Amino acid sequence: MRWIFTCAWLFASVASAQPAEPGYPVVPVDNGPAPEPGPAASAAPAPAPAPPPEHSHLPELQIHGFASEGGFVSTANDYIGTSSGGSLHFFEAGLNVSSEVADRLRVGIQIYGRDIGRFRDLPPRLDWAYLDYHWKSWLGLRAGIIKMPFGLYNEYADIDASRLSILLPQSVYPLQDRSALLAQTGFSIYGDRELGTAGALEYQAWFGTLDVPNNALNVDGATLDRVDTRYVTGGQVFWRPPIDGLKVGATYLRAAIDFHITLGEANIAALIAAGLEPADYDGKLVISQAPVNLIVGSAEWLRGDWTFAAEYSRWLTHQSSSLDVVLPAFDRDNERFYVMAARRLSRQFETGGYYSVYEVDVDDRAGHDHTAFPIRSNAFQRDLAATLRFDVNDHWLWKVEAHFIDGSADLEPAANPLPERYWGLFLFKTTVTF
Amino acid sequence: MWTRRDWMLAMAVLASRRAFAGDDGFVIVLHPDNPATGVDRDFLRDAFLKKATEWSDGATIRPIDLATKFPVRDMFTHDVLRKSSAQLKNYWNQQIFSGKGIPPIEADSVAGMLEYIVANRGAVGYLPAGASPGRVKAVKVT
Repeated sequence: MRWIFTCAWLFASVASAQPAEPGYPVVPVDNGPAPEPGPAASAAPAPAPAPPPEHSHLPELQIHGFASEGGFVSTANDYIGTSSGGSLHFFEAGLNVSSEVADRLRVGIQIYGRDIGRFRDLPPRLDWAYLDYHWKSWLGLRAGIIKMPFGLYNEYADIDASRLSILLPQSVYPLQDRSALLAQTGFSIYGDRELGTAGALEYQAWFGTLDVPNNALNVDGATLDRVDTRYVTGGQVFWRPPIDGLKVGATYLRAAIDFHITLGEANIAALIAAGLEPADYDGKLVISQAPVNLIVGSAEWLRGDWTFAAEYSRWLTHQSSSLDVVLPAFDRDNERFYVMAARRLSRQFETGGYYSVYEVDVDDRAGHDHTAFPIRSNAFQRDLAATLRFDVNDHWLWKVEAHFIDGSADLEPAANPLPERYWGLFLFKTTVTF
Repeated sequence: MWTRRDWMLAMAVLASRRAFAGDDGFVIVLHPDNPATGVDRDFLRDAFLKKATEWSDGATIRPIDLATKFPVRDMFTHDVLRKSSAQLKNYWNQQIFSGKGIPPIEADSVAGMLEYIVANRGAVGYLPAGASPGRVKAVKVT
């Protein structure tokens, strides 16, 4: 009986939904025609209706979703797919349900699917699902599969409608790391603390594991069997000084990840023939990235119709493997940063751009070490991007975007054995949100 | 021709509007049992952005917005939340699709807002300056 009741409740909730701004449930009131809108609108004196008792009804269910489709083409190189020939594999969609089931206690779940070039999450998979108890403004607790804070925008990386650009600055928010870095399974605490005349603090801390799908990493001549995250933990603090719209902060994230790989027959045979492995070697290999330390400093300023943002990040990784003679241990220190500006021109148009830089080795930004960078331009990627957004209405938007890129650091090596250093990337996208 | 009584009445109405609305063009309205005599602007912003959870007496805050067709909503968004309408929409899209929060419920009429506030002890909303608060309590932004 319970499931019949639940289905009926779900159906009734959806059926009774009224069109409104995305995300804004409307209080249904039967008080006759609404007064004329405007500052001078006067409220009809309450005709002494029997007030509805507080929280006597079933919890309100909110259902939201989005769907995007677009395309991209590059003047050279294959980026996020076969971009050099043009591609329409630029689809993503999400659907979520959330409800405040008790005082200050919310539960929610979202499924997400995408077909973006070589990144494919179809059928859709669980994106986030958790309960959230916001006890006080300064302390809340979340448990479940939780979007992972990193910088200003990592938690919102999929939410096309919430920003100007189609691609977030790829130096700090690389699309290829989306599956690994977007969410963690575990716990987080968060809060917001007023500091009087000094402004306010927002903070989060979390601990859990990552659910990295096997298609998150392309391994040439081998199969990725599974990814084990021993842990992921981190913290984020933002300070909102007493300057309207400004916030500055930092995020620290630390993880330890093991990639379990089985080499292909040809590689196994080569290792045995070279005498590097015994004749009964089964091709099993473990690559460990432990620790991975990611830090980012962030600043954002919303000033009237302008949005300014800048972030500087360092990604420090120690990698080792169970086949040390073939894959010796090394340390890597990436430098990643961008500056961005956007301006809302009208209710329908917004434009802006960013300059984003990714240096693979902070000690060799230009790629002078030919052993580490046989192709020099693989040491860096500098991306100048410009976007125009057009909001048809509150639920539907279009974007076009151009990138002028110097470097090939973020390209998949197997798809780009001889990359062009200077290249362009052009994208368009339309998104519907409800 | 206005009589002296008409002038005095008009002055009294104007004075009472200023007392509650200041220069904001809106008044803040609370449940009649809410002991607050004024609401701090930053607290109000945090309440409507769902960062603050409770009143000083421990009651859960239940903010309610007017629908976007009311110009006073833009005024409130700009003056109290310190965001443009587009920035506020982005903020709630981020909250909704990351699972971090859901926006305040929205009243399609002033009467709807008043009814919700009367029915919910921790409710807080706003009305266009000049609208009669009826049975709810109007307070200043401090």
